[in-house]
Amino acid sequence: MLIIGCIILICVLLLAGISVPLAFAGVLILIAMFGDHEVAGFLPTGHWKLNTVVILVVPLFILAGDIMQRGRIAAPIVEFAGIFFGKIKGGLSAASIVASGMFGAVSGSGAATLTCIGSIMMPHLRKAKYPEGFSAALLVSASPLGLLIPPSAAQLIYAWLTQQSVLKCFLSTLVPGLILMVFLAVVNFFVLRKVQGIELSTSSESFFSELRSKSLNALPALMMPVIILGGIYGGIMTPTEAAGVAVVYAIPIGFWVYKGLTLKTFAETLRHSAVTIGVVMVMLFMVLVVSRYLVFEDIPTLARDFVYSVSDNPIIVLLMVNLVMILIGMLMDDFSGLILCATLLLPIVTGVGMDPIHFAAVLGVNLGMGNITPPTAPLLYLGSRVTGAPIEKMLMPTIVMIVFAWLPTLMLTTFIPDIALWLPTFFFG
Amino acid sequence: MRELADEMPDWMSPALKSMVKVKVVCLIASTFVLGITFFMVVVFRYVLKSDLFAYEEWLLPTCFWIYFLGSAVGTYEDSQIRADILASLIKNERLKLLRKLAVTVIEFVITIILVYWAVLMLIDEIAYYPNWQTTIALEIPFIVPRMGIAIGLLFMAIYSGLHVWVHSRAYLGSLRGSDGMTSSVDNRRDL
Repeated sequence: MLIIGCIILICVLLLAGISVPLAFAGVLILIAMFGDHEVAGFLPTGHWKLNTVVILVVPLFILAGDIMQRGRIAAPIVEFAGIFFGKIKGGLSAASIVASGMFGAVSGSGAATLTCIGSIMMPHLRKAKYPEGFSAALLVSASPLGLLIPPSAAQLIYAWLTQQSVLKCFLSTLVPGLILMVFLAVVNFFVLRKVQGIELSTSSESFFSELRSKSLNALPALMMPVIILGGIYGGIMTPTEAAGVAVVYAIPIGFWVYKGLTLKTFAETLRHSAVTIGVVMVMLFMVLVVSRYLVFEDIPTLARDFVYSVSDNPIIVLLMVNLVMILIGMLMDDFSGLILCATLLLPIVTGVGMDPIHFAAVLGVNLGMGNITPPTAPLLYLGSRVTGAPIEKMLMPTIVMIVFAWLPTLMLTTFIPDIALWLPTFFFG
Repeated sequence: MRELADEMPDWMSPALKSMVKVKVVCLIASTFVLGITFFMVVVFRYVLKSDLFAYEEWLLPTCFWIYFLGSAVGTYEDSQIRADILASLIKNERLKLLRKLAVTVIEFVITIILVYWAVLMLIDEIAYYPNWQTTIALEIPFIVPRMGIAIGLLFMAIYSGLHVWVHSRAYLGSLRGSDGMTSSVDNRRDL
């Protein structure tokens, strides 16, 4: 009974518009009322769970992403991506996909990617007469690449929660991310092939001279993921230390290289980051406490028994799990959705033989897709605000990209384990 | 953009703004420290060939203060993460205000219960004095981060209460036929 009560309550509270941490606190109150637990232990549980240096990677990622975002580092990345495709029809929008992947590697966040790349690319796409709704939908669809292209804060949390290797989790989402980029590019070129009036770049500069000048300009920005990943993979730094180094690296880059930061905007950035860190970490605190007590109530086992009572066929189970994850992704942000799915669904999928590292990739793709799937689609609404395109014009192209790019990526990642496991196995055996 | 303090009576507004300003200054300073600490850890290890002694013991309690004071400022700004589906379905302005009032009341009640739990946590912690739990090297009592949790939750409850007051005024205003819409209500970090 308690499991049904918890599920109904969390759905009602979230749909009504209660903030995510307090919606989870509401579930905790229900557990306190009907479970057999000492309430004085609830908050210390959260303290114990979050009282670890490893989890500090999340605030540091938020801080580094914010500094990079306000330090105007997205513009050189966009210019750099543009030189590869800018001169063919649909090339400018394809460059947005590549730029989103590159910036995703820098920021590790879908929302930051959409805000930075979307606000820079949309005026260029409009000027070149690309269809407004399609362009905005493409930017939205490419923004969750931040969750897939390493380093990703979401994968760090998953690795920490499930006691898996951070490096393996990072690598597990790289190939799905690249496949998604290819699918999005194919949909982009296919849809735009018959659109009339698109203006192509008239730059007379040769490819190599453009490559030289623009890659030099983008180099300091592109060094960010190199520092983080190189530091971690080289065994020089822990992920938390690498995130700290990334923060310190981003400060002079923002001040003196791209000149987006001043003392005033830097203070504003720290303020904004602190509030975002507070909002995200208190949400994490509450979700961790609730997931702990859900485990006490043996709810993951009950959920597993429920799923297996419907079917124990691995394909059906994985399809059901995918459906649940998409629904959760539609309702929640990536961090809380990830924690909930990792806690509740990992025992179910490992029961049908799925590797936890494989599940990391499936979870990443699912949550990314949930974040752009109507009706809730947090990134879709953010995309409308960032690009100024009306939602109704974005809906159909977004659905096209979900059906022809995201869903195939999800199915390939779910049912061909090597897509997620090949790189981790190649590097770590 | 108008903030919550602007919706308050004149005698309360400056005090509220000062309270938030103090929190913001503390947050800016401690977030900066958080940012550079791990860089210093790497510098100490590879350049100075040494260790930044027991840095995690003072940094983690600081982080709990950042988390909960940051979240309190988030509540003040109404920028907590939420999936506001019901709001997009309701077209009637008065019903929208009523829904928002109901949401803020529920949030206020939940935060009050959280504050009560936080008080129980502190009482439990104090009861162990002088044998209370501390960190190993620097012997910082666990009550330090837990105090941060309690104070952060208390501020969240205070700001939630003020939101209830603002939204009930807006709703009552709409019942009287005046435009009781407030401008501080649409600043949320929607999902």
